[in-house]
Amino acid sequence: MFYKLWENIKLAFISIWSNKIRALLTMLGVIIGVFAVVELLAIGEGVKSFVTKEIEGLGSNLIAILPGKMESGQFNPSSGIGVSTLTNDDVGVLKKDVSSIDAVSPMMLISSPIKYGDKSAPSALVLGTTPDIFKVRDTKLDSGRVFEQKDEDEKKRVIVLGYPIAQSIFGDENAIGKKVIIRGEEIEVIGIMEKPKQSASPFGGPSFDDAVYLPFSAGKELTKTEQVFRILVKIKSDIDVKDAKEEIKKVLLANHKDTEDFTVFTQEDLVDLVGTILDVMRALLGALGAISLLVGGIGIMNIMLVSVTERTREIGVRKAIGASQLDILIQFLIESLILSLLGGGIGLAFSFGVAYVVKVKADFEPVITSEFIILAIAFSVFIGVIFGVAPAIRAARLDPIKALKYE
Amino acid sequence: MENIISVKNLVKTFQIGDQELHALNGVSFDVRDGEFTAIMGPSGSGKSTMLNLLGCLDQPTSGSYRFDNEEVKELNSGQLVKIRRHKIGFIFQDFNLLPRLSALKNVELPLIYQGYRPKARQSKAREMLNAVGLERRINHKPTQLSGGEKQRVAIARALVSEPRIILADEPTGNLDSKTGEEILKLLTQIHKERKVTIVMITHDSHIAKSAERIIYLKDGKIHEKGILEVLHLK
Repeated sequence: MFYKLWENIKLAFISIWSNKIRALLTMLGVIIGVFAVVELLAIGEGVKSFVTKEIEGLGSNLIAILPGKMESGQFNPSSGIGVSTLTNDDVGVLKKDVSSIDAVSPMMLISSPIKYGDKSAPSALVLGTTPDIFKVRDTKLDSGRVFEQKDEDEKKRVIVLGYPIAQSIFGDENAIGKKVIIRGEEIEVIGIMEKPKQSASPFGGPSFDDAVYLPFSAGKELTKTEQVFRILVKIKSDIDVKDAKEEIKKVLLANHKDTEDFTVFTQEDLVDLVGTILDVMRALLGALGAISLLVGGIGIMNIMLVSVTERTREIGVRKAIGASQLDILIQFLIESLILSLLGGGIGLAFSFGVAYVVKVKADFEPVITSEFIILAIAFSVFIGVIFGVAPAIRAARLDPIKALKYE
Repeated sequence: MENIISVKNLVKTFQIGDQELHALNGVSFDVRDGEFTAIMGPSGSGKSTMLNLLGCLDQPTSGSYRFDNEEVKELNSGQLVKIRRHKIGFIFQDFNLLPRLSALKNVELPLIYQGYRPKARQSKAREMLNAVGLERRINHKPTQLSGGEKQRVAIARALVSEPRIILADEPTGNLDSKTGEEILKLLTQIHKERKVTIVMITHDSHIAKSAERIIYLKDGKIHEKGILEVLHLK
């Protein structure tokens, strides 16, 4: 049996080799299909690990509290607009009652551009917050200083700029001590944050690198409201994030009269959320690739049917000299299997090649996991068998007498 | 000597449209072990049908065909495959070598289906190609061989599995007369040296006469007069 199988494999290669161009064209569908599936999955995986790294780069042991209730990992659109359910009072209560908190700061979104002379930075994310934010976000400075509790208490009009924002307004000019205009008021630049290590998110949207911070008290006067759109919490490093999350939730619930109109969000939750979004994306892309695999499979079936017809006489001879139906079936099945496996292998090699090129050229790394490799091989085998069976059965069932007379 | 083939009242009917065609209409004969028999007849006489039945490629409509003491009609397709694999060697008019394989590989083919190991297979196939005088051509593809050489490869392939019987279907039909003579000589020589039973189908009385015995078919029946005519020519 083993020798027969080995002969069949050799024979399949001989047969494929003697029709090189045709075999290559036949494999093309599978090559493209496997390449598409693996590459798209790899890009999805790359994005996921990139985003995960980004989120984790925000600082360790970070918990965010968002207004509005978020149900099972879905964003509640009302949490982003309208009146926030969070208040500065929540910040005070958290600071007082939750022992595991290291630092906590509210964030007020001040929708306004920053102007300096005729220059402005429209992408700046202007946030009113307390000095704790610099502890929470583990801020390192490029120059100047951060504001302190004294600045907060005295409602000082001072601001700390993100590096990209400072660059876009001041260029190489020294910004410290200069005054920018926010909502018509002059505000003194006292510090510039360190240049971000990672390049900004390639997927657009505001990044915390573009944040500028001014004292919460000052922000309250600028906007004449007290809207806390987010509370950021840093917990002590020896505390389990999940325990801290539960504690924060309990304290806030009590402060909100048992109404859960907020969401306590850990980094892990955020990673999970991004994960679910990316999984949907990946599934879609994977399905697209799977369609081309299907087309590839039909191509293989087509060529195998042609091959069976072409080799009708050969089948007749083989049967006359002692091949059973099973022998013929296996022979053709192995041929289609090898055809699609070769295609899969070439497709996989292409995926690795393209992933490497992307990594080198684009500062982004598609990740081909061993699961994808197994998936690609499994897909190829599946395609080879499924679309090889019909032609193989046809070959096996040929009447040797008619097959021998076939011209 | 015992009979390897025993045919009694063999009938094979084909349905063509509304009409029944009796390709064989009650044929009876025996072939003894080691005999060289020619089945002769004009085209349409049923000799191809006879060959298919003798070769276990087809089953008769009625009548009995005993091959090597087995009633073929009672065998299932798997058993028929085993008989073809181990006990029958085919030689065809148009050689029917597999074009992509070398002469050696072509001869190895029946042994692959018998489950031989590669080494044993190769040495046997080589030996057989030597026996038909093709020791220098073993790695040639069929397209690189002349008609006579191709038929020699086919004969080697038929012999390599040491069958009980060789069925040759117009083995010289596609060859010029000189080469045909050579092939016929080879068959006769093999028959004598190896004591192999040969049943050869031919429409050519000249070819048929090189056999030890002639069965003449006409319209699906054995035609005794036909044999006499052939022998008269002798």
